[in-house]
Amino acid sequence: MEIDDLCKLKRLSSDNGVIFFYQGYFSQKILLGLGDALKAKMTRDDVESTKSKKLFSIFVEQVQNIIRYSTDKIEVDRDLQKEMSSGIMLVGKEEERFFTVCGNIIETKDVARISENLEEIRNLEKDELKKLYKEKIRSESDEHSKGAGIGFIEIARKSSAPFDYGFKDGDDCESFFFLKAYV
Amino acid sequence: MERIFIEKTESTPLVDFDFEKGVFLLKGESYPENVSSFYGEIFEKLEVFVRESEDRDISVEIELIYFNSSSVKAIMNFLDMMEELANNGNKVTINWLYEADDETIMEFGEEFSEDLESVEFHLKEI
Repeated sequence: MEIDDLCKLKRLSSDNGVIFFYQGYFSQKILLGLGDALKAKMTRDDVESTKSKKLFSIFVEQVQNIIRYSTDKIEVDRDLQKEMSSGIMLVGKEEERFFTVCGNIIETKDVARISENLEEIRNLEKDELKKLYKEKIRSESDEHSKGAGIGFIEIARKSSAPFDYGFKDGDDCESFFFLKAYV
Repeated sequence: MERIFIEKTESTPLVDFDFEKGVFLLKGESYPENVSSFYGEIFEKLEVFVRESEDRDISVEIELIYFNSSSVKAIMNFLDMMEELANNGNKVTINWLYEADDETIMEFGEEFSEDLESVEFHLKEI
């Protein structure tokens, strides 16, 4: 990448209200670091505490979704079964609302299932989301489960408007999944 | 049973389970990388305590300022165990503490309490 390209990238981010973005391999430590950056920005901008907590909560669910479900993973420690997952996480502000976008590679065969699940969630009212949340938590098989689907409901519950999502650049094997939430 | 004491970190709460006194405390934030590896062992010990206890006073204080969706399941498992203790003839009191402006945590407390019948559950603003 040339310096000019980097400048373009920087300008594009600034013009679109991006506060920060990270693309690459994620770990819990990176989540904590980015989380600190986000909290610091919220404090500096005097964002109301309720709003700031909702934003942080959505941010955590999105990053942990990348960590768990991105199919692009590298092994960092075989003995500890430690892996890092690749994805992109972006936080920004447009007019008076914040937005957060997460993206990662998934298997194309999962697109239909995920999309059906998200379409259901994004159209639910607050009370229906609460009900579904409880059902999912109660029905989840055991504590070894990674929490499939509940994270998306959590995101919807904390959002101020329905989230957007999509699947891009797909081929037979892999697709790029993204989800944009608003607070 | 030996007391469980785990200092809090940025993404895991302070856990202080004093089995001898029957006092359990969870305080801080909960969004660990892997919920089952953090809570698994703690809950195994707690299950033994639940099986062995009767006719005791159990006091629980939960002051969590943030938890992620995977931790919700763990918190619910914990509360289910408290309910079981109460059903086994123990007197269980739970104080669910939340900060004054924190609707989210208060609502979670309300929602959790809907599933508890034998436990004495108090929502307390701090």
